[in-house]
Amino acid sequence: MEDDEDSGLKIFREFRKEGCERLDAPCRRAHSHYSVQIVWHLLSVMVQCVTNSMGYGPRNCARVDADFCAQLFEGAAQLFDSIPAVRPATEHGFGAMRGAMTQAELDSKRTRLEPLSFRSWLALSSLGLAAIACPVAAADAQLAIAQNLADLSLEELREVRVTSVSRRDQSLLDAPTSIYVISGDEIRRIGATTLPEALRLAPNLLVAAIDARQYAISARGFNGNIANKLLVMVDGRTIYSPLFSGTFWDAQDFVASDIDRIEVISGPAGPTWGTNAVNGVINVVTLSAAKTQGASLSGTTGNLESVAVGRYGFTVSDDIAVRAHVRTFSRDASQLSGGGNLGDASRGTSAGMRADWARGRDTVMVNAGLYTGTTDDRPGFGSVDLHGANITGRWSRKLDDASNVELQAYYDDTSRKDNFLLQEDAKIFDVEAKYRQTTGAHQWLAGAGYRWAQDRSEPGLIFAFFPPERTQSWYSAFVQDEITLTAPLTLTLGMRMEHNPYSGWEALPSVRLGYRVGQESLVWGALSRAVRSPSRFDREIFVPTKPPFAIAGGPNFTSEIANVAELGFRTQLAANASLAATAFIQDYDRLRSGQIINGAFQFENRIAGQIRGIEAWGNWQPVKDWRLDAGLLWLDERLHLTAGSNDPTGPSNLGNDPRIQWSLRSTHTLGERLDGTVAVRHVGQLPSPVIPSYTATDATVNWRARPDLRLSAGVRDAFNSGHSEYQGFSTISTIPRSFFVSVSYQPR
Amino acid sequence: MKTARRSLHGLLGTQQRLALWLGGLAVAMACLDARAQITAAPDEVEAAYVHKFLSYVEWPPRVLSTASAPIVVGVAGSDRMFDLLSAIATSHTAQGRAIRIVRLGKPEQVPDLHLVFVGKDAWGDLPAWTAASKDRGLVVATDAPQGVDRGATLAFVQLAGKIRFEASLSAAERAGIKLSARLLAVADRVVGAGQ
Repeated sequence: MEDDEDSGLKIFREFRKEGCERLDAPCRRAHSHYSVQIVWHLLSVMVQCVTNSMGYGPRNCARVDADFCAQLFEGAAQLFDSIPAVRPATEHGFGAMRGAMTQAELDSKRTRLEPLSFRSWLALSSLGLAAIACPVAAADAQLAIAQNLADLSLEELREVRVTSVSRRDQSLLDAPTSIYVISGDEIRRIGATTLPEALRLAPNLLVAAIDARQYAISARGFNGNIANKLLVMVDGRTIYSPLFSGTFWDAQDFVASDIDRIEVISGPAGPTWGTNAVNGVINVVTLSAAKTQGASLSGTTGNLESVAVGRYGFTVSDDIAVRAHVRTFSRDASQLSGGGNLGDASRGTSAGMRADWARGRDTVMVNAGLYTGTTDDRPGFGSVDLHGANITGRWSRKLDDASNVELQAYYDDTSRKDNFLLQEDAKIFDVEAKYRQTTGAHQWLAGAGYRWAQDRSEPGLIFAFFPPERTQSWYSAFVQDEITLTAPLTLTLGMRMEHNPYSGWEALPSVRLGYRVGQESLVWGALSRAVRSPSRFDREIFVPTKPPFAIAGGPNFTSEIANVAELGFRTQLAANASLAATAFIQDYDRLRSGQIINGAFQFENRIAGQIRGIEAWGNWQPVKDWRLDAGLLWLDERLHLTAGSNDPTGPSNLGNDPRIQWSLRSTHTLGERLDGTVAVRHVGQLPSPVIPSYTATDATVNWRARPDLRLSAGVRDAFNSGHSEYQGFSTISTIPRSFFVSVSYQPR
Repeated sequence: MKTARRSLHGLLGTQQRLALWLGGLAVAMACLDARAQITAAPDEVEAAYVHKFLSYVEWPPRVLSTASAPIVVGVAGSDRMFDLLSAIATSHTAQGRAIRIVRLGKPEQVPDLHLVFVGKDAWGDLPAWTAASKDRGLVVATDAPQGVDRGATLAFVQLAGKIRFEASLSAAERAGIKLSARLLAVADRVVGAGQ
């Protein structure tokens, strides 16, 4: 134990003795020698901590000397200060880029940019390491303390501060799936005013703003304007369009103060959620009306958008609570990266209500919404006009201690007029029944669902759907059994059969195995088959709107298939630190490709291949007032055309994804009334078309001036003048640096 | 030195440099802060207390007959507490005796016990446990609200982010055990005093 405690500091003793603090001073050994030692030391500590938390190894975690992190920081700072001259990187910085850039152009820019020397990289990465070293050192100390509390005296125990934060729901730790939960508090703390901006908090999602209104959002790849492998729900209502199995993000109402949590599952969840849950599921859960009582007014304004929300919650009787809200917004046009703007400044109003009724064994929820929105007249294309209404009802009854039934139905009417992209009038009715029962070691979930949709799409300037109007229905039945094999080992078997109007019956089976290691850790693995069934977009789209067609639908298009293997690990390192990681291989077959038939494109299924990757995230709260969240996503896409394909573009049509993405978020509570968040996210380069990598830093400060009044201010992308995140159908917009202030008043 | 300074300005803009230093400073300060504080989850602290209690209770000879008899601690209504106490018991003793942890169900059939911890899922059974402790030399500890007022011998309370405990002399007397003066001195509140 003594040796372990010393080894961290020993590195620095040697480091100084040999005069290596400065890069320009003579040092007996290469600086890389020390960085390897430091990294090795940190890794060995982490491994020890993890094995200890799993109940193996010595009871006391080997501790990094507390001085280690301070020493490392100081050493890194000295190195940083002594970096030799490097040509300014900023003059070629990505912020200065204009327009779309081919790979060749980008490469030529890259070669002109003088690379940082190895020594400079070393210095900078050491600084980064300092930030990592401290958490590890202290998290380790925390673990040791938690294990050694029994050695404290009664008097000492009296002074131990307790924290209940960051110990996730036990049920969440048990779930053998890759799930990240965004809390409503986190959303409010960063001042998110739209659903896509809130989703940036999930490390297992790819979120890219296309312009001021539209987003490309996906999990585990295939991100695009028409991303179609992610199922998105708000309080159980699916919000994707049956036209293309994707989500129109600009049509979604969002009241941050009403959000309870957003559950983000990456990976297939077909048995429970259905055919669109190929790469993931987003489930937005709002607070019950009983928890949002009284009046609340909030307003946000900044250089990009202004939003105002008013809400009022009241009780009708002891067991019925109701809330209603109105929201209005206006947003500036998006700036094109080549100069000028898209002319798509938008504004809109939405209103919604939720009522909850609970009596005895029954609970009933009714949720309804209305929205309308429009944009400026875009040159040549006119405005985008949206409106819609929806209502959801859910009734659940507890039959006895071990079983319950749930019935849910919704009706959703949406309308979109966009001459340039897609026009749609859709009416959807959906009903689903679920039954849960626990008998002995089995937890059963069974259900059946039916969906009816009527969809009408008038030809626009570019796209048309033939026939323009369709009435379709889907039905499904599913069953899942979670079996406790032994106390730590759980097996979950799931099966769903779903019938769609194009490819008929589809089977979505899955097997999940979870193994609890001690109280705090879970190792899990899963094998699933996921299916994306055809939508109107795959079968019935035509470009241009009159013959001769360049794109002539996809009469042969059938379901896309994914066979997915996942291996995950989740652990609570200490009361205040947790870590989750998932490795996955998604093996795809029959992905959408283009086929030239009689001079026109038709959609077929001639792309196959794999997407492999790793998702990892963790949080650490060393003290009550400071919390760090980190996330990492790595994707390796290997898709190829299959035999017989004559698609000239190939897999790049399916999505444009970074290889790597990471985020780091630091949340501080500064006294009773003040809190602040600094969040850094990095998204690697998108390959085709090339969108340069970017690193954006957001900061928000919230001040509770009075018990009923909260003032906030924030900046997004503080250190760049702007960056691009995704290419739209024909343009690339710059997402500029933005500022906002907001005020929220909630009379007591 | 001068070159180094200039190069730093070139490498990163003034803003970025400032941000890096401020970020570094925040990390360093948080580091120092982290070293000064001890934090733990409430149930971890409570488990440590329960282990400590075993050293400050005097049981009648009839319930701890032989010198080698272990002290038996039962846990009802909290799997987590069972695991925590089990972990402590593997490497700790009390009064020179081994500690044995057993998981308990309903209070109908009580095995031979020296202390029972009544956790959240069994708070409803607290009256039954206090009744069962009578003349059996059984200490009833709980984290139920107003535990000592509801008949427990020792009960946890959370005060200003710290875990404290209260003691009941009448409950101890009913069970036929003695709580040491040291334990009572550390307790935040002692009820039934002076008897």
